[in-house]
Amino acid sequence: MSAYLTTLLITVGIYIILALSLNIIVGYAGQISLGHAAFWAIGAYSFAMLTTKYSVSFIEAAFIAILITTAVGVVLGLPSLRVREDFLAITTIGINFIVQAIFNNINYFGGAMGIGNIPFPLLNGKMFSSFEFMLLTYLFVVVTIIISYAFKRSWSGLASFAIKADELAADVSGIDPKRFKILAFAIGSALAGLAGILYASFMGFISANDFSFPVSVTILAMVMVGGENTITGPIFGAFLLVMLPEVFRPIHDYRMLLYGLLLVLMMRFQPSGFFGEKGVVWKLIKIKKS
Amino acid sequence: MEIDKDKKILKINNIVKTFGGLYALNRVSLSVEEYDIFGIVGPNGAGKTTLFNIISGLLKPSSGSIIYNSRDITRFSAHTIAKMGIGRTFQVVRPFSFMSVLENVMAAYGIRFYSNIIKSFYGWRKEKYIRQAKEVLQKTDLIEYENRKAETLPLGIQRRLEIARALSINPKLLLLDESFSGLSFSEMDELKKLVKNINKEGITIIIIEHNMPIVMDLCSKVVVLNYGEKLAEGKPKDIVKNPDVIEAYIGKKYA
Repeated sequence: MSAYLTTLLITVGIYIILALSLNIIVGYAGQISLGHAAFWAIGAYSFAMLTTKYSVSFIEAAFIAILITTAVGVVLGLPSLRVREDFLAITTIGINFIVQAIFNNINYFGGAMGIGNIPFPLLNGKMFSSFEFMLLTYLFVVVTIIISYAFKRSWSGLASFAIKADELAADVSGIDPKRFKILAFAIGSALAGLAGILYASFMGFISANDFSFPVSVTILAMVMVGGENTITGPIFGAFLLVMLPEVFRPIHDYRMLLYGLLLVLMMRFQPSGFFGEKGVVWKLIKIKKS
Repeated sequence: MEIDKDKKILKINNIVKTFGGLYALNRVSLSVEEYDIFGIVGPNGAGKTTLFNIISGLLKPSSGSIIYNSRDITRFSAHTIAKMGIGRTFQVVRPFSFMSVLENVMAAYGIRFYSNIIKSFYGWRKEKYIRQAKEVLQKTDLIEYENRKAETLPLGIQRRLEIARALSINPKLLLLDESFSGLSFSEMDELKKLVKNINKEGITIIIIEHNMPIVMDLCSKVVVLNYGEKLAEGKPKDIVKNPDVIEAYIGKKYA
C-alpha cells in the first residue's frame, strides 16, 4: 500500500471518528454544534503537551487526554442548557475561536509555532509503521461505531431523541434535558479527543490552525451530507468530504466554496442526508429491489 | 385497597402568576380529591393552561404553593414532578414527532431508568420492557399504530398518544389539557370511555374542557376560572346554573 493511500485512509478514519462523535451531539441529542474542532484540538493538544513536555507514556497520555477533553466538553456543553438552536450555533462558533486563539497565542501551548515531536505509538519497543497506525485508527473507528450504536439503542439514546424532538414534552415525561444534553456532549467530546490523539500522534506536529472554524464546518457538513442520526451517514460523509478534495485537487482553493454549495444543495434536495430517512441511497436500493 | 375518599391529592394555595403586569392567575386556590375527575373550565385566556403549566413544573408561580400528596412541589423541576407521578398532555399536541408511537411511549417509560447512570445505558429494546409499554398501547387502543411515526397520525390518535405517553410514567395524577377539542363525535366517545377507564384504575384526573356536556358527564367537581380568578366551584350541575358563570361565558346581556 502506497504511503499516499495510507495517509489518506488514516485521515478518513480520523474524520469518521470526528463525524460520528459530532453525530452524537447533533444527530442524537439535537444540539447544534459548530465548534467541534475545539474538542478535537483539546484532545490533540492535551496529548501533545503530556507526551512532549511532561514525558508521559503514550497510553497514559492518551487516557488523560480523553479525560481532559471529556471534562472540557462537559463544561463547554453547559451553554446548551441555556441557549438553543441558532444561538447555540453562534455560541459554539465562539467557543471554537476562543479555543483556537488560546492555543495560538499562549506560549505555554507552543504559540503560533505549534507543538512538534509528538511520539508515534510503540509496539514491542518498535515504532508503528504507517500501515499499523492505519489499523490502529480503524480499530478505534470500529470502537466509535460500536459506541454510537450502543448509545442509540440505550435508554439514554432514546431520551436524547425525545429531547431532540420536543424538549418541553420530554421534560414533563420525566426526562431531565440537562442530564442528557451534558451526556451527549461528554461522549461526543471524548470521542473527538480520541480523534485528536490519533491526529497529533500521526502528524507528529500540530498547530492551532489545524483546528480552525472551517474544520468544524467541514465536520458538520460530513454529518449533514451523510445523514444525521444514522451511523452509515457520517461515515459516508467523512469519506466523501475527505476524498473529494483529493479527486478535485486542481480546484483545491475552491474547496470551501464547494462545501458551501453542497450544503445548500443538500438542504434543498436531501435535507435528511444521503443515508438519512428519505435519503436518495435508500430510494435507489428500493428501486433495485422492486 | 381501602379508598380514603377525603384524601386530597393536590392542593393549590393562593397561586399568583404574573406575566409583566398581567395577572394570568390571581390568588387561585383549589383542592382535588384522590380518585376524582376534576374539571377546570373557563373562557379563553382565563389561565387554565397556565395553571397546568405551574402544576407540572414548566412555569414557576410568582407566589403561592402547590402541595401534591402532602409534599410541596412548587419549586420542583418538571421532570422531577413527572417522576413523582404527575403526567400531562398539551392543548396543542406535542408528541415526539419523528419517533414511532412505541418509541414515544418507551421514552416516557424510561423514567424508571433515566436517573440511574448505569441503567440508563441499558438497551431499551428488551422484550419485557417493550411488552410492558405495549400494554399501555393496548389500553389506549394504539397498538395498531405502534410502528407509525407520530407526526403521520391524525389529531385524534395523536391526542390518545399523548395520554398513552403520560400513562407510561405510571402517574397518580393525570392532567388533560383540552384533550377533546378538535375531535369527531365518535372520537370523543372513545376518549370519554378511555378517561373513565383510566380513572377506574385509581388515577386522579384533572381535565380542562370547554365542552360542557363532557364536563357534566365526566367530572364530579368543577372550578370555573375567569381572568385568572376563581369564579365558582362546585358540582357541574350547579355550576351551569350559576349566573356569574353564565355571564362570563356568554355575556351579561344574555344572562
